[in-house]
Amino acid sequence: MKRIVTLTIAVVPVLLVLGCGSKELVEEELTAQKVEVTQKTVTPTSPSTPQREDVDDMTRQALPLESSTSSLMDITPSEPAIDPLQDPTSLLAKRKIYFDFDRSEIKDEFREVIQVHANYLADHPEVTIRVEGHCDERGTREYNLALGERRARAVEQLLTLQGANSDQVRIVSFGEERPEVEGHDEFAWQMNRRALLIYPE
Amino acid sequence: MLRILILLISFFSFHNAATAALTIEITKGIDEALPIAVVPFGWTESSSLPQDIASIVAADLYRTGRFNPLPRKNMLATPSNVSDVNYQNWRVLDIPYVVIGSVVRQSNTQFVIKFRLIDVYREKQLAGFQYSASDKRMRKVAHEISDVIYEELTGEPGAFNTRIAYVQVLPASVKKRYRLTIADSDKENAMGILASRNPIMSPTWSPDNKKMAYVHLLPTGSRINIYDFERISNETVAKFEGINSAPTWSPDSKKLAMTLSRDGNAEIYIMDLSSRKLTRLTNRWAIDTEAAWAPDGKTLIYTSERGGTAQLYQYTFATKKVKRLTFEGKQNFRASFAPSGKMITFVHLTMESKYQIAVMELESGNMRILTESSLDESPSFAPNGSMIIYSTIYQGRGALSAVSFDGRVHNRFPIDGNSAEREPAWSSFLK
Repeated sequence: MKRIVTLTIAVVPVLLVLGCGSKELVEEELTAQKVEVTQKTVTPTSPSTPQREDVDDMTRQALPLESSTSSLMDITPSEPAIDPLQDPTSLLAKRKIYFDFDRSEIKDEFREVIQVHANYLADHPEVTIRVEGHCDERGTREYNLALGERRARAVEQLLTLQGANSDQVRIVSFGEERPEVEGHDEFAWQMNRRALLIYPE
Repeated sequence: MLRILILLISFFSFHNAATAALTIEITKGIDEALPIAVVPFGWTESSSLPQDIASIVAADLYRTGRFNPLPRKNMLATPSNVSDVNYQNWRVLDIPYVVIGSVVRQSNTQFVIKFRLIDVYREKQLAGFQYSASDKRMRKVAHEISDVIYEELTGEPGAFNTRIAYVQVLPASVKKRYRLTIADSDKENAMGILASRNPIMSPTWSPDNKKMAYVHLLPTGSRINIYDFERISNETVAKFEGINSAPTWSPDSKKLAMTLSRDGNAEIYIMDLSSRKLTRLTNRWAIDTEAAWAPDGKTLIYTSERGGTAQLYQYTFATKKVKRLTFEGKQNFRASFAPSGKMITFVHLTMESKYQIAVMELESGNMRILTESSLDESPSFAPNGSMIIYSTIYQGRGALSAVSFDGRVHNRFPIDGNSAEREPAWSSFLK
């Protein structure tokens, strides 16, 4: 089976200086234009009226684009007969932990799920997972970024307490910026107050 | 190839969409608004004016809630020279102030714009200026004229010739759906400066208006970037382990206060931008974030939930003492200083669980709630302290609104196309 891999195409004006290395393609998607913000032009209407030079209006130039495509062979490893991660009936299939409003404590109903993941990680020390912390839209965005991190950390702590190695769990907070359900009601808020356990593909 | 084309199209249409005409809706005004007539500017050519300066000025004045511009259809005459002004024409309409002006083409794209503010009862000119500008800068000249009129008649500087920044979020079908956009104070002339498929947050102008700090939320985590308007560069200044967020500038634009969790928990740090040296300010198990730097540089106000719920605290650099400022409602978040430094605006969570914009006088501690909806956020003062711009949810979408510092005047900015808009930040005065 073939899989087409398309590389990121970046539109970058001539003068843009990127503050990062090429390792992180995601950052190259930023595009910038020159914007004039500091000029002021006033001259009094009286006897002599000195004219102020009108400074350049905005200019913008797009660079030619480059794209490249390449194809890769999909190397599918010969799968072990039973991978519990792929078993939809296993508790390992549950990877969402929900929280109460403005709280980061793990509710009792999710302790067993986390225990099962902790056991799996303890049995598979080569596996590294990512825990994402998310919030509903209530409260300020910056506060929620911190709250989302605290939720992710609460899951991380329980995982390590129950057997995972601390270097097997990475955490990241998305605050309220990546809602699962769009909307401004109780249902959306409930669904969005969550931590996600993400296994590598 | 098709892919490249689509990208190019979306890149350019993004700019075109931003120029669509907008009208600001004033949702609540004040009764004693001052009548004024802004007469259409004289223009001798047969083509229409590059910009209808008089209508931009009238809209600016109207939006403050302090002026009541006379509709054009009610004007008995439309003079553009002082010698043509018949004072009786305005007295019969009870109009105490008239603005007249003219535009003359100098070259293909260069124009001379003159205006005068006239006191009808004293039959006297109060102010008059002449500007030279290209067609593209005529809108800016209109805002400068509004500033002169506002200051002449209210005694306070106007803030029309200033800019706002905000985050625009396009529908999910658009690849680079997060836009950092800047616009004139009336939200016209909007232009995207950055586009990304990942969320952009917390834009904040440096006090010298030369740079903008913001948060870029990548799949791998958050980082703080600085966009430089003069060098047209974009630089990452903080990408530590954990969150990198809530940037706020020192009054001299040389330092950045920020929230980092590199030491395990969200704490406030100060970064010296030339040496990149970090100083840690808070040290708590609780969340400390959203610092705001006082205009005199002596204190910081930030959000902390050290007391169990989010409240505002003030840190004084000289004494290193911390004082809790807010006690009303359920929680209080994200303070922002008035330019005078005497007042702050912030997000107040009421006992009825509504997030509303409030102000507090720092000396007395008196607090007042200014808005009425339930998901209001990100308040930011105009540089003259008269209005506060903030984000709200209107018809299910993020939208920008403004309210006067005393809560008497409310207006709502229309949204561009089908985007959502949030996190507005008002610039300083343009020098």
